[in-house]
Amino acid sequence: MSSSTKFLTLKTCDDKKFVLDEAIAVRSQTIKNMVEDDCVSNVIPLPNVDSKTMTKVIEYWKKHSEEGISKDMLMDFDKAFVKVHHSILHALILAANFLNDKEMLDMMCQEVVDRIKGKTPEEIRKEFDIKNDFTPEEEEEIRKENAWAFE
Amino acid sequence: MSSHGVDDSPHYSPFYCSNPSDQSDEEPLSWKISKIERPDRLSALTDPLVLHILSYLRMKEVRRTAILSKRWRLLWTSAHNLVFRCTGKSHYSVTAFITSVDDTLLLSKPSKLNKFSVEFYYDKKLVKCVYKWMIFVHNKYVEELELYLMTRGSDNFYNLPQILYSNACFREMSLCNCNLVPKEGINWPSLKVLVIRYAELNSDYVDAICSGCPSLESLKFSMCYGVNLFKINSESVKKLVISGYWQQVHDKLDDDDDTELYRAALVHAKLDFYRKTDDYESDQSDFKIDEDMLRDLLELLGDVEKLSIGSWCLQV
Repeated sequence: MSSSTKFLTLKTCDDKKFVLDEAIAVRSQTIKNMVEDDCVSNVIPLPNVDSKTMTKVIEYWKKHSEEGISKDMLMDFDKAFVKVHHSILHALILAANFLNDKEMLDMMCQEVVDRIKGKTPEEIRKEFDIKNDFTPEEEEEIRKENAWAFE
Repeated sequence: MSSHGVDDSPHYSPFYCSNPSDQSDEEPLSWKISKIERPDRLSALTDPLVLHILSYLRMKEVRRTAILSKRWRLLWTSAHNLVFRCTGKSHYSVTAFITSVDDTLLLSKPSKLNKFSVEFYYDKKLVKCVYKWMIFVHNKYVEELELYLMTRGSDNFYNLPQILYSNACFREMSLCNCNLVPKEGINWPSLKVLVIRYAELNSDYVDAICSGCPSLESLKFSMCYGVNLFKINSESVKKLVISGYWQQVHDKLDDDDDTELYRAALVHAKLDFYRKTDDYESDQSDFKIDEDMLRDLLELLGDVEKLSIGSWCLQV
């Protein structure tokens, strides 16, 4: 089995190289398409992903490709995986989007959603460092326009 | 730096493709979180990604984001999933709810929507409001329609308007307290999932569903009445659930009274997999009940002309 294992080399935007089992790397639809189209030479460049983000992505892929791992264990892993600062969430969303891994993208987006749900606008701004660029008058106007949503 | 996110021009970039104007390019995903500069990365995501995130939220929460910053001001008007809920029964809350739905639909920008979903206390006086929404559903090529009307009593059932019975966009439909009354048959070629809860049926309408939905894979009738004989004549349906009504079948069979009236039959049904409800899946004792139910069901299926059964069913 091991003799037939193919490895791919992925190069991130900061020139770090990752050697990865092809069977794991094709969790990325983007990479899968490249492999299927036979346009993989030696190194697959990932111009939109940096090495730190890629390390996290690979950690996720490997865990989700482990043989015999239980659903509960995966759930615990996922729960811990998404507990990161929103800047890392952002990087992972962009990476999952670029790599076209829908499962991972949905999980990261769901985490953003969970952090928005049930929060006041002030709390959401604080959570994501969103700068309020409205004047108090503008803000009042928007509150009126969307009055029902603020009830 | 502070200019990011204030850009109001929509990024109609492909779903994954770093936009040249995207702020992340000038600062390639640094993990260092500066204490002075705290970039707002959520707002820096492209519109399609932010809208994907918003698609998980109900409209009330989506519209609340309008106040976050200028970047978010009108994003909600581009939402593709419009999900409205109102649990209040009072005239005031229902009226306010309807106004907010109308208002949202008026400003909704996309020419095509994924989902339209409403749940609220319906009264037949509101038939015109719902009718307007259904025209909207038709005009916006909605793929998933959920119409959960809470009512008191069957005289408040809503009848799905004729404009919706021929629609190539519908992929999933879930109705509650809403009757199907097609005058000229049904034509839903893309529909895969249909759930009907609390409705008056008749066998013509059930026939119309079966013949008009060639892609239908999952069909569920829950607490429906009005059909003496369920004839599910469909080559495509893989999962069929008739709940509530079946219960009556068994009760009545014991009494030996109205068996004829409540007798049900499946014709040309493929039971690849059958279970009563999702809740029963894990529980062993309930699994037994399920088995018994299925056995009863199979006995009832004496006059089925063609029946192929999945492996789970064969254990019974």
